[in-house]
Amino acid sequence: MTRDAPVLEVSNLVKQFDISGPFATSRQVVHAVDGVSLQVSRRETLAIVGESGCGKSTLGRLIMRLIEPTSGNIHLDGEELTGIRGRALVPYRRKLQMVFQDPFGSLNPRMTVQETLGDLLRIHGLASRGTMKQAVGDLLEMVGLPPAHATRYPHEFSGGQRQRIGIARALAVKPSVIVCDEAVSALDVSVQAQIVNLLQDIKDKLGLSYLFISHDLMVVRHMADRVAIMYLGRVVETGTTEEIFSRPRHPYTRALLDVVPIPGATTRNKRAVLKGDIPSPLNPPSGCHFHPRCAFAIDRCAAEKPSLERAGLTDVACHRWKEIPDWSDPTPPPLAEGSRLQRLQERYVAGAGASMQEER
Amino acid sequence: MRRQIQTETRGHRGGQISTDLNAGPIEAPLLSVRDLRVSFSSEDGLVPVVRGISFDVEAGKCLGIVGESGSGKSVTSLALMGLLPPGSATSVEGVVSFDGRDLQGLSRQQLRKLCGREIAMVFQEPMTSLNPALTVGDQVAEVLITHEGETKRAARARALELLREVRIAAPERRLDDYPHHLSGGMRQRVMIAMALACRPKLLIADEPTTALDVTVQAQIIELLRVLQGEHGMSIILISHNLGVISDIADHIAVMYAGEIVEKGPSDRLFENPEHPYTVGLLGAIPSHGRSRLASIKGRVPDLAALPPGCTFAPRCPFAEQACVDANVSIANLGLHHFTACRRAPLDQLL
Repeated sequence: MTRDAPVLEVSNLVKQFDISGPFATSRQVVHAVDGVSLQVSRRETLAIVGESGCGKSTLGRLIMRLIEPTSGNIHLDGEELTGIRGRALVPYRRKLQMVFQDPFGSLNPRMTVQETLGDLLRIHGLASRGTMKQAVGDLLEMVGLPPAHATRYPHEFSGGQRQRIGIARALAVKPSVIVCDEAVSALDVSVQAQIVNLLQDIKDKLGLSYLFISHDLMVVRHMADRVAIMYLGRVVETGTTEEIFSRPRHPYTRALLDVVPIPGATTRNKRAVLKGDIPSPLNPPSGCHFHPRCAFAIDRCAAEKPSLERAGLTDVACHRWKEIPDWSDPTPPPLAEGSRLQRLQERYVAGAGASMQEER
Repeated sequence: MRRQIQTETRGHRGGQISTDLNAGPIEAPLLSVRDLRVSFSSEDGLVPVVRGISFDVEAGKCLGIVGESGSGKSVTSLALMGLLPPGSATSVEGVVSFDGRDLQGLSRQQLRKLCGREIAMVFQEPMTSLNPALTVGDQVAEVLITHEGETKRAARARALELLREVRIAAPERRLDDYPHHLSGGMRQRVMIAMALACRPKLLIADEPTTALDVTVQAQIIELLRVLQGEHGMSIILISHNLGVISDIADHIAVMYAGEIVEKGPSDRLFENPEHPYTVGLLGAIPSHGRSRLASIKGRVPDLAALPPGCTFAPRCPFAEQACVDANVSIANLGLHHFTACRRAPLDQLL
């Protein structure tokens, strides 16, 4: 296998939900995921970004095989997953794990951490009775929790600690890909920073790949190697993080980047705030789904569905990407090297690191 | 009582460590809060949730209150509105004066009248704050009928106007819709329309955009900014998101464990933070070009068992013995900038 062979490859994945009730006169179908293709390479973080209703969570659940796709293929390490069902999936579940948004809802409140993680190790045959305690302790250590916490119940932990347990559970089976569905979204900023750092440390240490599903563009910019932007079930633009954030081609990507709230002393005045809401996925607009909200839309956009095409270093699904004007990045430049705040933060991190070592 | 505090504090101005919080312009602020304390009784006894905070909101300006969960920012707003449950379980102390009136001196009835008419509030969850059994039009009209004594017909006409004002598309059709017909952003617009119905002088918005998508969030913030300009309304915006706050606030107060640890004009706070917690918060927000986030170690302290001295000291990389030994009070650094750090100015650490 070459180094660049994707560990996870999704092609033309489609998921339609039939929501017509028993007495419906016509069939009503939600196109939650509408022909999505993507690849995740080894040691790579691919972020899926979009607003609510864009299908990013459905995509994550499809890849996890928690729901059945309507059509399309999922390849993990070169093996086709969509045909496999039931028990036969167990070996693949070991390679593919998930971290959820709500760590409390995804932990059994009646089981101690030892039991939750122990069960998992036992089911996958990764530890015996004798080595169980040590194995759980090692896992907790890896996510920055004292091994002594293994005897506690989920309610005894704070939100950030619970998310660490959620990560430990995903790591328990030594997966090669972890799907993080809004894994840091519900956390306070300071805790979020801890978990983001933890996820990065783990990735560097274990050589994992992440499929990082998030609506938070700042976190995505910080964590991801590549980004795919979704709108109403389709990927509208994908490319390297650097390229997407500095030279976005799709009007929707630009609209998202224009409104990311960024703390700073200077208020950005050149904000193009998108009008209207995301249309209902029950009855999406014709052609390009984004055309009713797009400032550059022409007749063709309403008539013809654009497909992803190569545009410099990104792939973009827009009929007019060549014609629309250049975009200037509204985000303030990073803190100048040697500025007071930059030096203060450096001192802050250095000080925090030193005192953390003392604690240990 | 209020006058007394003012003259007292004026005497301290310029002192090295002063509890003076009233360094604003001579013109009296619209809202002034002095030493607000809120405690809830629990099994562990009285737990202080807001521990002596003071701030001003000037007419036509926006104050942003930022803090993490459990910092006391929402309880502060509920206390101001008199919305905390009455009875012995809650104790609220402090002086709050609004537009020259002492709110403590008002009866519950008078307070109720004032809140809604001159002070209005927008909450985080528009779905739970709207009545699912009433149409949007009826709910907006109800405010006008209750507070302004308008007739049903006139109130409905005004409701339509208000929906138009908060930029709801096709407001005529929306009047007879129920809340579940509307999207999250539209519901929040209806909430804002209701809050604006009586042309309040002060709008308290508690996490108004937290449940919304980024593009909708931007629409709502934009709307608040426009309305603030059009009506010369003051806003208190409470949020955990420094980015949202920086988009609209003129002044910012940073809360930690029930106290304001730093406050000042927005640009000063972002460029020259003088409290380690603020430095940490700014470093914890991802921004491009930074390889590692400055995470604040540990977690927010348990309010029932606060650490001695400065409550941030156990998590502070700059803390020294003195920070643990003695309490610290918020001090003026000049230029309306206050910090509750005994090591400020932080330049000495560089």
